[in-house]
Amino acid sequence: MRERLSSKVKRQKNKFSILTLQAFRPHNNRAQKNMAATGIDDQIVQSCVGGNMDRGFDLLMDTYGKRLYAHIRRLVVGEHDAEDILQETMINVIRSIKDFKQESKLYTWLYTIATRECLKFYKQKKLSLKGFDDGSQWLVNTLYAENSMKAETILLKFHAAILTLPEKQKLVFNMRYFDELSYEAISKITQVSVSSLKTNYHYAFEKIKKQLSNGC
Amino acid sequence: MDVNIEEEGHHLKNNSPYDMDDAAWNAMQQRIKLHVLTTVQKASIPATKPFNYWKISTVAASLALIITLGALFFLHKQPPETTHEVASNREIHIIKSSGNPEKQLDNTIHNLNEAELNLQHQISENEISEQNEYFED
Repeated sequence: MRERLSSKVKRQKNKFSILTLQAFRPHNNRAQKNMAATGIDDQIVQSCVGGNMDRGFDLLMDTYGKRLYAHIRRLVVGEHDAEDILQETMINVIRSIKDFKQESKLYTWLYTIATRECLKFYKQKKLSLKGFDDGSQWLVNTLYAENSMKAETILLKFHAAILTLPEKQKLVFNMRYFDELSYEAISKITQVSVSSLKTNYHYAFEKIKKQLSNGC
Repeated sequence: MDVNIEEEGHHLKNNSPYDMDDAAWNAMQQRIKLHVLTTVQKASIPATKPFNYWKISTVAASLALIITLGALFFLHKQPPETTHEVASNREIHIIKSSGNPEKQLDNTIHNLNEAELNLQHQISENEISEQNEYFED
């Protein structure tokens, strides 16, 4: 009887741990889409290199544009800044796509360029933001200024909490939580080890959780 | 208001304060496309530079300077025999211009007074005796 009971408890425990893991694990639908998008990647590269830049650009934007824009926007917040950075990213992509060796996925490569542009923006802002103690406070202010009436309070609080994270944690949290990239892909993009990324993600998650449960 | 990230996970993940409607997105895409393609095309065309005269004159002046310095260097490096030849040629030229050397010697002797002649004679005799002693040894 006792053995039966203990095995039942164990099974329930396992079930619970699997459920909690699934709740934290990013949905794999989008990741699977990324995997299947290699055919499109070839088309994009061939169009851009072959001289049909117009078609190549349209394919690139239709396939990855929105996700890249969302990634940039989550990091720099401001609508105009995000547009400028997406534009700069696209210029760099079109210019150097002939050198793209298909060792990694096009999406990872695009993310690398976009993230680099965002970090460049942070550096420039830190130089120009003399009135603020912290660059992240400026980002939070921009978030509230641009969404004064539009967005829900919960969403604003959540994104404000993300913006107050240190740079590395912010990067890994955004790419893992929203874009559902693997740690290996994020490691390629950020040039940070997988173990360090995992730790940073954990800390970021805990910080946001704490901040939101405290009611900000 | 407290927010539980685990309970609200799905909502927080799938909604964003940065969402953009399709019309705004398309307009932005067109703006970016126009700018990107123009920039890339401009970069692919080699820029024509204006013809600069000052650059050409600078090059010519530096070439002339190099040639002059080179010539000076080679003259300085000439072997000493050549210098000697140049000097002896000059002496010959001077001698030639002043006439026959024997005549010149005669004229000089003729111009000397008695005391000078005696002195000259003594010096020559001493020199001859010294030479003889040397050969005897």
